[in-house]
Amino acid sequence: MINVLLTDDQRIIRDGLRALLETYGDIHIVGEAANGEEAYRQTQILRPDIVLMDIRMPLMDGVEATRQIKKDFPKTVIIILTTFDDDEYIINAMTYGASGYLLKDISGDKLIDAIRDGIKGNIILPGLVAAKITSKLVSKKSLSITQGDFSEREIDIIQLMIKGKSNKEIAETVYLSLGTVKNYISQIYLKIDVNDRANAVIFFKEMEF
Amino acid sequence: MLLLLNEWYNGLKTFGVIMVIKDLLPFIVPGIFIQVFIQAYYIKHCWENNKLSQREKALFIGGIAIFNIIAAAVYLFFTRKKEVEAKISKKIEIDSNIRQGIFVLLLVAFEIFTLRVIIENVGSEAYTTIIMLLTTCFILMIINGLFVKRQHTLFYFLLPALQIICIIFAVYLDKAQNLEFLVLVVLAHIINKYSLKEAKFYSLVLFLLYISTIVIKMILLTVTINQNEFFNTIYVNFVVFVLVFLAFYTLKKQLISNAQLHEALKTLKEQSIKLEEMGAITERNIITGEIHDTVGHTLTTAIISIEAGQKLMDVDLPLARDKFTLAGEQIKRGLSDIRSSVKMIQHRKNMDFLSELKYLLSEICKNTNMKVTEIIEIQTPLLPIQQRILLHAIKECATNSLRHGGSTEADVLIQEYKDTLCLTFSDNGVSNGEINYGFGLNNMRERVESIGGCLQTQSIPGEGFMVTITIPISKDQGGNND
Repeated sequence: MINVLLTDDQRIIRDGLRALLETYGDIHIVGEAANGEEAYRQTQILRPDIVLMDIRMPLMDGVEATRQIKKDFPKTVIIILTTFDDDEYIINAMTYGASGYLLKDISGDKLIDAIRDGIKGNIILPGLVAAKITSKLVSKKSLSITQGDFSEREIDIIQLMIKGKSNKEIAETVYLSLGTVKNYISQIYLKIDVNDRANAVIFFKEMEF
Repeated sequence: MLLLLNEWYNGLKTFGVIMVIKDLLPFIVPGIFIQVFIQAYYIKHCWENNKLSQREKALFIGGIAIFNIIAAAVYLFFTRKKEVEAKISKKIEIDSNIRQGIFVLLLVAFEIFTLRVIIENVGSEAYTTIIMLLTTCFILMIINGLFVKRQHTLFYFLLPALQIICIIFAVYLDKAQNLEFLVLVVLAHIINKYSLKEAKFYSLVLFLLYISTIVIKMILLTVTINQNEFFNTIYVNFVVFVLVFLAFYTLKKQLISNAQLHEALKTLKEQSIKLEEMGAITERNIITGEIHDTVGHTLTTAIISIEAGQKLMDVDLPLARDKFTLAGEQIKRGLSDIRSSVKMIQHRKNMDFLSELKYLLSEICKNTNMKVTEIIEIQTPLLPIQQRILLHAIKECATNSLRHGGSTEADVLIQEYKDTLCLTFSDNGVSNGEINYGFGLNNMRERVESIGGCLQTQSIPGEGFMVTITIPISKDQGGNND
């Protein structure tokens, strides 16, 4: 059972969300709050697993409430619900520890998915439920990497790297600036999950590039 | 002059130079080694400097081989890292408080040295004249420092000339040869007050007058000329003068370029704020337009149908039901209209992101002379939050490169790879291999991590600074808000 606290200054939205969420068996709405201060107080008393948080509210907004709740109750998962998705407030709330944000017009099933994902500790973005930390995403791939995973320009650079050319020589050969070549090489390292040139060259020789 | 040299040479011969050299051997032998070592070091330095053309290299290496350390100094100054010069129309002046602070210190120095000179000259015939000259010079300096502005063209250019004349006369009359400090104070004052070009001119005039006065004075006033002392005096005066000039001149130049850099950063910041506002306004206009066109129309029809249905309920129930069904259909259609326009807006937003990014980079180029090369390959539409965080990160990186690294070039590469977007920013700034996580960098990292991304930094001494940001993206994101 997932305990949920609803926070929104508009009653109609809280009612709508309650009606929507209560149809799912594993969700239990423990309370409602109309502003940030109330949300903090309710969290203190009711200890919900998850708080659905509106951003713009009177008295205390969702950003400040997120900061306070995450400070005192770090285990509480907070998901921002918002009407506008290009809000600087969202970025702030997320740096304070909100697990993600969703647009208010999301469908019930997606909202439930997001709540379950949030409980698992994943990051929630609209259209991108359950984002894992990127470095892990990338590193897994080095096992099954093929030539097709690289762009034409990257392949040119890799071939010059194998020949033992320096960054400067590569830059002159492919007509790119030195910095751009460095950037490409650094992204190639990321793809194959190595930290230095020697290992990269060994990797490419082994896969018979 | 030739005669003098000749005489000096003969004097050396008869004096037994060989004995003198023998005495100096413990100093000369290691001295020669050190000189050769320094020569070799800078020739190697020059040889490996790939920013020079072949001709320049040959010139400098030859110069260092022949003229040794002096040529090495010239080489180092010539090949100094060119500063990021800001293209700013209005003339940048250094903080007037700094200038006045230096001015006040110079006044104190002038007073102290004047007292010393006067004490040393007590009893000489020119005593009164020297006091008068120095007092005039002091008063001129105060007037010049406090009251004369650029607009008073006549006084602005005349006063330093008068000052130079006073001080040179004093030098000529002085018995104790201690006036050189006052000459240096006047030199420093001129550099401090005037623009770099004007200061160079006045310094040169002062320098030539000063050296020739010393020469004339020694030839005219001394009965027997000791050649060694003669050349020593000129040499020491020359070196001291040049050193003091360089010290004050470089200080001023540094202050000015700092001020310029500061100004450039400020403009950059202002422009990025403007850019953000502009973006927000256009976005709002688009959204308002879409809402007006789609939602407004369907909602109006739906309301009319519902009102009709309410009125018909008691009269004609089946017809009322039809009206309600119609209203429902209208609302449904409205919703799908909203969905498609949201998609359209999001698509347009991505276009905006690219143009916003390009605009930001071109603004950086334009305002700072830092050359930015970008390669951007994105197909997946990005969420607004991702766009904002990436733009913010690039801005932060560019500011850091300018502020801490003094970079002249920066490169941005954005690529997509499966479910990740990778942004790498590198510069050619001064880096000492250490990364100082200040507020900006920490803030950037927090933002990137908040959307599931990660940020890596790398700093290699002599190669500049590199930031790599990876964020998760999803191919269908932005399209499935429904």
